Amino acid sequence: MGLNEIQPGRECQLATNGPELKESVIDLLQSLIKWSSKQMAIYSSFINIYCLAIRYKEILHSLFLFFLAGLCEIGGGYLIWLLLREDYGWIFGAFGGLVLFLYGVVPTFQKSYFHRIYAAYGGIFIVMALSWGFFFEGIIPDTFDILGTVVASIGIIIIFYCPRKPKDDKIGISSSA
Amino acid sequence: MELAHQPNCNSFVLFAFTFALFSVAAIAEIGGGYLIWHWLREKRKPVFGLIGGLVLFLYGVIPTLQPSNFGRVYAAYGGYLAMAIIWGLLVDKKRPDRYEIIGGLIVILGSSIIFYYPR
Repeated sequence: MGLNEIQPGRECQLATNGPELKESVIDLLQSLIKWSSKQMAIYSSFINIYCLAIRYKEILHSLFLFFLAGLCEIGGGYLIWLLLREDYGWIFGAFGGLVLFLYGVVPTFQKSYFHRIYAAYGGIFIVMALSWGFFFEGIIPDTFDILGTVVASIGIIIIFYCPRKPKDDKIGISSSA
Repeated sequence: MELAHQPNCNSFVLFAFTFALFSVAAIAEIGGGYLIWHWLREKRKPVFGLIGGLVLFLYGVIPTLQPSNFGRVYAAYGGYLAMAIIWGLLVDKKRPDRYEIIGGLIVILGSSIIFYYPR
């Protein structure tokens, strides 16, 4: 394959910092894959797997942080709840405030801060809150708790995974806007 | 809580009261997180973090006024996090697309079933 075979008019800009740079390199590689001929097929599948691995690592990292944030938020809220509703000592409320402060710190480790990702967090949060009520207060979720959770999850899947036109943002969790 | 335990409390008043509590909680949560975000990520003064912590504490107080059990209140609140889409519209100037609006409405519907279905 000669240099003169390179697709004309294809411009590619690499970003300068961390996650955006990674994304733009992925985009460049993927556009190369599209362009490349059959001889490149084997190599391109390797590159594709590599790109997926990078993306999924980010997703897992992001999900872990959401889990941690949910734990801090529900845990802190529960401690304050114990203080005000169950008449536990003020020390519970003080710890609750501290844990909620930690909850404010956790999202700063997220690579980006996006409203669509936040909606996904809502889904994780609903399930975690019902589990918390089950494990710590012994309240079994009733039919309509479960039904509502299923409906809300459907909504979140629509927000997240409905295929968009190519010019729109990428689907799902992505570290670039 | 006081309002909710009135035996003759109008169900619309109760709905408006709880809905307002969910909305205020969402604003306090996102606002508090936003202040701490500004402190740590945008290198603002620590006083941002302090006020953010206080606002988050207030956020912990608000759900205790809700007339239900802990798990159900917090689960229903989770759906209201879809309001972050409105936050994205107002603060980040990012217009929600069709599926975000439809999905957001369905999420609110789901969490309303959790909280408002009469038992």
